[in-house]
Amino acid sequence: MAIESQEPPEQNRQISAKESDQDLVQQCLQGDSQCFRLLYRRHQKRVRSILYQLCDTSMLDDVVQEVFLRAWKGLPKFRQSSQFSTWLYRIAWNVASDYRQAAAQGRTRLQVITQHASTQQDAADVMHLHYQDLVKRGLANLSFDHRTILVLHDLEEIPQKEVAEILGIPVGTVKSRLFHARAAMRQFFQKEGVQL
Amino acid sequence: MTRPLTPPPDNDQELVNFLQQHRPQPPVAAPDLEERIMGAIEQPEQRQVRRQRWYRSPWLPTTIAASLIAGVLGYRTIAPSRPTPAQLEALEAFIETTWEASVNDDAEDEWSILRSQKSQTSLVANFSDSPSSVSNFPLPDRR
Repeated sequence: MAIESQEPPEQNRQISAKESDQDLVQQCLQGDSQCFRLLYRRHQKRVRSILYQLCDTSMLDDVVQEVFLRAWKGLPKFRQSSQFSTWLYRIAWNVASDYRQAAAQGRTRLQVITQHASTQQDAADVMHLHYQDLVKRGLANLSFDHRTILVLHDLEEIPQKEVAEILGIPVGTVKSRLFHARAAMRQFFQKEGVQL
Repeated sequence: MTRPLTPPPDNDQELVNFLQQHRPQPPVAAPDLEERIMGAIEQPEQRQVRRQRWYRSPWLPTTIAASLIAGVLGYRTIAPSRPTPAQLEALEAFIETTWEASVNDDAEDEWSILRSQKSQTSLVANFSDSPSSVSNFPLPDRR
């Protein structure tokens, strides 16, 4: 007992890092905000990626912050019947929807300046950049519903059942939207000269 | 006879691979983002206080109770006192006499009755607390 209590804080955190999301959520609910730090570290990369594909925002850090703040505030209402990640991705989707609506209402939307530009690129890099731009424009060309399905299922590899749970729609609707989203994407690529 | 479910076309996987390979990469997070988030969640109380609505104020029931008590006390203070039996009798007599005058069509009689009752109106004026009494009201002179 005495040895355990003398462990440095970092080591205690490492032990906590092995705990499940549900355990960490429980500890957060008991007031341990440091456990939320671990949840943030576990999920921020994926949340960030989803938000970036859905919002294409230059204020990505602010939007990510908004997602985790909403999650922290909503923890007491979180029904632990579903996975924490599913619940968190739903919040991310809600925030992305809000952002889209705000952008549609005329707020300033800055163009994202990609940081990949370099003066010395070889041909492969140039092709990769070209395809990246194509995927980006293809996603932007889709409706928000179709884009969401494609991002969650095809890019983030979240199973259809979980996608249905995140979006609150039947699995059949997920399949249908996925079919149409892929068809639209393929059509866009064809128009741009890429045959898939 | 139901049609068997057709498997997804082979090029679906090709499309998915292409998307995953060339997906746009989000920019790197600001180095202080984690600390910003942790700092924000550690002061939730202040945020709640700022967002509190007026109708959720704990002072609302107290304010309503105080207003009711002030209203009742104020009414009791301002309301006029009850007239004495003598004042009521005088008022009754006045109403009886003036009632006769009001139903009579003859204007000449009406004025004569009113003039004859001038002395009684002064009595009614005493009944009223207000100085702007009937006695001060100038009766029209028809002469």
